[in-house]
Amino acid sequence: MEISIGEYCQFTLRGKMNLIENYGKFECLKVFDKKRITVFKLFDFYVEVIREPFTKYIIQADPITSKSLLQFYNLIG
Amino acid sequence: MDKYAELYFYVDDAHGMSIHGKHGRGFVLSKYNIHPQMAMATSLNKAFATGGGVLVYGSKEMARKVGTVGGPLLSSGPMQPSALGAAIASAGIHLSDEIIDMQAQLKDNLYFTRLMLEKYKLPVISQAGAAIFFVGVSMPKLGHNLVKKMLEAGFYVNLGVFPTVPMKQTGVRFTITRLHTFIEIEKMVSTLANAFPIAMEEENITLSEIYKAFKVPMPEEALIEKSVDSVIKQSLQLKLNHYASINDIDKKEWDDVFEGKGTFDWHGLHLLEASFTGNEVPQDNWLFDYLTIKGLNGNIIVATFLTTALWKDDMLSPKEVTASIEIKRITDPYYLTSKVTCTGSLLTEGEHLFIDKTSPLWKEAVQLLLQKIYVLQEKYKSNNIVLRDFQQPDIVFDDLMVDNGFFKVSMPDTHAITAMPWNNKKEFYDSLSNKSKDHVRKHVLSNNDQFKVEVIKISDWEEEIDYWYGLYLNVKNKSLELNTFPLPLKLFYQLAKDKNWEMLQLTFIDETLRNDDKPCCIVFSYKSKNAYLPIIIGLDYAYNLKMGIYRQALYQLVLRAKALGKQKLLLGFSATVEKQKFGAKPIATHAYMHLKDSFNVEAISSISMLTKAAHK
Repeated sequence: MEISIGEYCQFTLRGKMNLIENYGKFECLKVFDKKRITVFKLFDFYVEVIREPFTKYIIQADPITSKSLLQFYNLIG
Repeated sequence: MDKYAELYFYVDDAHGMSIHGKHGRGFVLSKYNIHPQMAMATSLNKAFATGGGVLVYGSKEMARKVGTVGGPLLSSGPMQPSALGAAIASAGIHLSDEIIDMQAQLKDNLYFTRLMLEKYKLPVISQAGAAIFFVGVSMPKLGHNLVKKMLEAGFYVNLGVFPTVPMKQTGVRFTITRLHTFIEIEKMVSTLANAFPIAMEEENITLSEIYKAFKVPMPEEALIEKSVDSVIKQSLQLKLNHYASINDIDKKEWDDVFEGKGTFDWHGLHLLEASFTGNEVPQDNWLFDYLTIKGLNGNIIVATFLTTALWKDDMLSPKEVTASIEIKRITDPYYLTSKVTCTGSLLTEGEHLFIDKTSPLWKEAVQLLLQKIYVLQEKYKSNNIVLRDFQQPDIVFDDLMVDNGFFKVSMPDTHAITAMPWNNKKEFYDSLSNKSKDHVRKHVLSNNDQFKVEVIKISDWEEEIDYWYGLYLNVKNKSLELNTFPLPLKLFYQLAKDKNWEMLQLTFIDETLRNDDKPCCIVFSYKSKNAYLPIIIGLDYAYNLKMGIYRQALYQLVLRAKALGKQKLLLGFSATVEKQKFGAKPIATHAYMHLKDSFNVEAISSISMLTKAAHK
């Protein structure tokens, strides 16, 4: 079973986190621009989960669609 | 509603409550404001998670009216204090911001479920926004199979079955709550998806048949499977033949199966086709279909004929109900009528469906037959299918029919004298019970000599036939127990000139009694191989009570059957007491029905309740 990027985007933030917790695979963690970013592989795409660095409150959990961002995270060559 | 002052809108939003709208007010009120002509009912048993219900009115007057005259039909009681307490707590949540988060969580779960059902390619019939999902399975047997398999795997799902849904639109129902996890939902859906093909195989139902039952086009990928199905079907050992006229069927082949069973041997059906085609009014035009299913050796395993015609939906309703409906039909003749595809016809009685149960393939043949009947139902757009005139109880057959979307209904008893081991009138009289002897002596033999009895084999005298038709209409208009449309006059012309039919006519010897010499009774009877079948009777009711015309006719029919050397006299439905006096035995009869739409049945049920209440 796989969920596409489009389908993933239909979920609420809590729903997205639920999917990541249940089906996601941790890739890397970076603190960047005062934000704590965790990257997960979810089905056949990547998702970055952005939290407030101190409160760890989740701000967003969106798919990574930019090639340069994927390269930045060393997810593609 | 603003335009039409008499238009009222009643909404049941039980499944939308709590899930949709500000403070969980439901789907409808999240889209529209309440209107003075609108009443909305909702449930507190579902997403509200307590008990009881709520009625919301657009005006105080409507609330007052419903409160005054709309009490419970059977019984009612107050909500239990615990449920009331929970309801107050739940209302608190609904009025707080907490509901927003909860609604969002549930919506995520519902969206995830929809995705899973789609990913696992399950036949979801409608994409509702509610928390209740419905996976179509068509026949109840597949539904029961799946529910069992799911229970064994640890998932409790239930069934949406008839009468909640039409018989062939059974489905697996399940509810998703906010507390289900995505993993739980996926496990449940994947288990259902794994069980589905196994259960379909076990119940011999294909995906294409499921989509067809719900009138939903098949998804593209499933079409490949459909073509495989048809190849498998072709390789089966059964051959179904479909004919649109009895003229296309070999007479001997048909009569080998049906001769002597009723008026539907080859010749009888030829006459029916001639009588019920090319007429003016819709109810007099029937469609005929003949189906035979043969095994590889060419032997007939299943055979029947079907007619598709307009029936009155109250045909078997109590007299009082029918009488009130007939009043409406004065201005609207087709009120509560439906197109029905049935085995046999409205003019035939007997074993219309032949099944060779010695064949190991009889069940498969019946299933093939039912599939074909369903196709005909779609083709003719008939609402109901009726397989009728079954006499012997058969649990195996009952199960087979229920599994294939039918339910069993009782029909009125039919009556038959199945043996006539007497040689003359006196011996017949002696063969009766003491009570019957008394009846026959007092009410039949006492005025026996006042009737002239004639048997007319052929008539083409129009005036005479028209008069007989008038006598028939007397009976038809008085008899509401079996409420049908009147038979067309054309049929009587056909019967009068047919060699297999004859007319038994009673006339008063004393012509001064009626001031004319016209007959007071006519009976049209069919002479089959071994049996005599009186089918249509006409009477002059003005003298029936005084002269006992009907009883006299029954007596004469018994004597006529014997005179013709027949072994059986088949007397048909109704008049149980009268027929039993002449030695006829009532025979319990049942039918199997499939309704595509139960609206008319429910309307008649409501009329029946109102009629009963009025009589009280």
